[in-house]
Amino acid sequence: MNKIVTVRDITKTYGSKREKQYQALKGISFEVEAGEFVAVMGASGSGKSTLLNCLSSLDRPTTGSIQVGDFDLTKLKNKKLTEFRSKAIGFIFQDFNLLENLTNRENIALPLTLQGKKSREINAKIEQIASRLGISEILDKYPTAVSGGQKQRVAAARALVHNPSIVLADEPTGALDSNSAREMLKLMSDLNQQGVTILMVTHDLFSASFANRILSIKDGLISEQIAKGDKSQQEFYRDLIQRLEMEA
Amino acid sequence: MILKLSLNGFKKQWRDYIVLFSGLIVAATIFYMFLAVTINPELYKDSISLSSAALSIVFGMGEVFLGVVTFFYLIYANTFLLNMRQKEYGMFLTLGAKRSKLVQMIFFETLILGTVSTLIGILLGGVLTKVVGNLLISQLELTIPTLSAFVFDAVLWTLVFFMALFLIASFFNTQKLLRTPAIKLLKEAERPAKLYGQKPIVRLIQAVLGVAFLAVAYAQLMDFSMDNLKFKLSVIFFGILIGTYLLFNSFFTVVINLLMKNKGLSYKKIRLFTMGQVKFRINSLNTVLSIASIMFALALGAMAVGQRFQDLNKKIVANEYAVMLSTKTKALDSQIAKLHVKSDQSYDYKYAKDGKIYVNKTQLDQHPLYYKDLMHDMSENPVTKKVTKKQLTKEFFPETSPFLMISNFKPKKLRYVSATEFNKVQGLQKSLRYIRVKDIHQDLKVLQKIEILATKKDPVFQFSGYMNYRNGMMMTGAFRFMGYFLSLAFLTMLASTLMFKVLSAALQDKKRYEMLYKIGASVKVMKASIRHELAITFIVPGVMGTINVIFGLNFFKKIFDNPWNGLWKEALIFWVLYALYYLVTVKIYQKIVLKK
Repeated sequence: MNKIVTVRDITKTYGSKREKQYQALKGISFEVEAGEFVAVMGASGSGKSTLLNCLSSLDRPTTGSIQVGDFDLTKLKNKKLTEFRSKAIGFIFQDFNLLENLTNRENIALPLTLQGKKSREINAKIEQIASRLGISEILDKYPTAVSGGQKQRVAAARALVHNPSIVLADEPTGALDSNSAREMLKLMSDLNQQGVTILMVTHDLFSASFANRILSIKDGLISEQIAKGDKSQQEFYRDLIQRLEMEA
Repeated sequence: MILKLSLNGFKKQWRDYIVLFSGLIVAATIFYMFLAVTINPELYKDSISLSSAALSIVFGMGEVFLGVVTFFYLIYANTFLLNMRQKEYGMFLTLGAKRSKLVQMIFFETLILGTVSTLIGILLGGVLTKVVGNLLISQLELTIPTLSAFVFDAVLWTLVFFMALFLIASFFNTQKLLRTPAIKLLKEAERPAKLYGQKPIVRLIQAVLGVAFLAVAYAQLMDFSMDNLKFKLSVIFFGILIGTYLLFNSFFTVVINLLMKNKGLSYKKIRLFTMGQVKFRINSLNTVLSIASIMFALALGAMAVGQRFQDLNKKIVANEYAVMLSTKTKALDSQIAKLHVKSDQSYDYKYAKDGKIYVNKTQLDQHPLYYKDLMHDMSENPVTKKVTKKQLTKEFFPETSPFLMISNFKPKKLRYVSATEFNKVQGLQKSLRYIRVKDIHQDLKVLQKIEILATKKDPVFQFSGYMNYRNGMMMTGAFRFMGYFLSLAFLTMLASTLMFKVLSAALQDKKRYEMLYKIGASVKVMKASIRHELAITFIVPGVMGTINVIFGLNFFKKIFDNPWNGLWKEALIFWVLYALYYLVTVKIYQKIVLKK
């Protein structure tokens, strides 16, 4: 299968040599294949946010290498990194981060305008993704005028409109109530079924149970990998809870 | 504990405080300077009290004007203080701090800020008074050595005025805090931007009303007369303010929406975002932008009008005789010899033993006195009339005043006799010398030297045409200086208000820029977006203000022939200074919102 993400022995150390240094990542290696839905799960301070920052090129690992799509992140400089972020990844933020002074259509258009696409092409792609996510009727409304569930879909549309190699989701249910969280996770699951590769960072077991594979991160290292296999989401979730109880 | 929390808050947001500080310090500096000039004791030591009084009056007028504007500026600036710290205040309340303690803290903070900025302002104001004083003395050729930098009453009244305003402001701030729930204070910064989705018809009505209000105000300016001055000024002021507000609220939003609909234009890089920001900013900054456009007009107008007073120098009409003297010295004669003399006539008189003053009437008959009736003839070239006998004994204007002077203000002592009789009179003989010059402008430097020689020794000299011309120059010069300083004060207040309003939204914007960065916007593109967005925020009130000035200068047509003459120069200087403020705002804003 086609590998979308290849991470080899990355470490990340903060602080200069003169100060007390802190190692957030201590040697992480993993791969994500095309069409996978991977969750990176860990508590606060485990290094999962640092890992996400490295994968999205917002931060550079101290050692090791990261390949995302056609981009070798550790070899790229500023301009190319910006290009990487605008082309190769789609971001779903914790609280949608939709710009309330733009319409939903304009919010979705942003990744494509950044790439310098022509307006006709942009409009066509927006219509396409909106239809796929069932939000065609709310394109010309402002985010404040639509429901939480619809906002999620707009955020997802913005993350997908430019056909990124992978969608990175940073605690996507962190700011949501349980119903909205469930809807969001179901949406991501459906998108994954349609072939979208997703890597989600979360501290929440329930959210992680929607993924095909969970990478558990603790103290800057991957402590275990858990595959869902053929189980349903509910079965996988029960499994995870049992594991947790046994560990406790 | 309260003090510690307060100081901590100052340290964290020092950048924002610097902006507020700078505006307050400049306001205090110029307020003090105006007051220190107006009531400067050195001015009252000057024996030529007319010119010093003129300076005092002109700066006094400026002080009143500045005081009114400073009042509103201080109240407005202090609301920023509350807004800047509200999240922190909310946090303190959530952690269990009592409201009464928080009120104490706000009161304390406002007072500290007020006292420090006022004291620094007074210190700088003292320096400025010295510098300005020396400039005024040299430019306006005053005969006093210097102005005192520190005038106790000026220090006192500046402190009283500013501290009173800060107390009022802190009272309003604390009242607002007492009524706001903690949760609202905490979440205020995270509140999404309000976008008023106005119906097109509402926008259209607003646009029409806006244009109508402005049209009425400008029409009043174009057809200005002094009748019902207060009413007319109110119509103009409120017409421009309301009209500008309605126009910002409607017209600009429509323009931006149209631009955004043009996908060919808006679908480039983050132009959509920039336009969205501008639309939001104009909507939420309506009031500030409207006030800013008026402040801009006041500032540019003050500079332009001040400079126009310079042009009036050529139109000052002097009395008939440039020099009138009762004393004679070698030094004076030497200077008089350098004048371009048109006529030089002496009139002899004697102090007789009988206590009367005998004047040689034959000389007056042979060389009559003439005068310009400046009280009744306000034209540029008033008619020269012959002084009649009745006028010489009963009416006193500059040309006849020397005779009043020599009689010690007892004209009944004067006896006008023929030359024959005059020669028979026993007593101390003196003469009054009346000199006309061909062109007073040509001889200004020499006349100034004559003034220095004659001022303290010859009481008749003060009635000379040169002195009356010089007083006129003093007034115009004083207005010019006043114009410059008012302009500087208004510009600083305007720009710091805009700066502050923009920067207080920076924290909310930081999250938006972080998101843009994550989805692939480069720092270069975001910096450009910030420059464009802030440029529009600064340009819009600037353009409206310039238009207001162009119409507003019509008000001065009665004083200046062409109030617009040279306006382009002042506008250029002004826009350059305004641009500097814009650049500083951009730099500070970029530092706050952009990830490193």
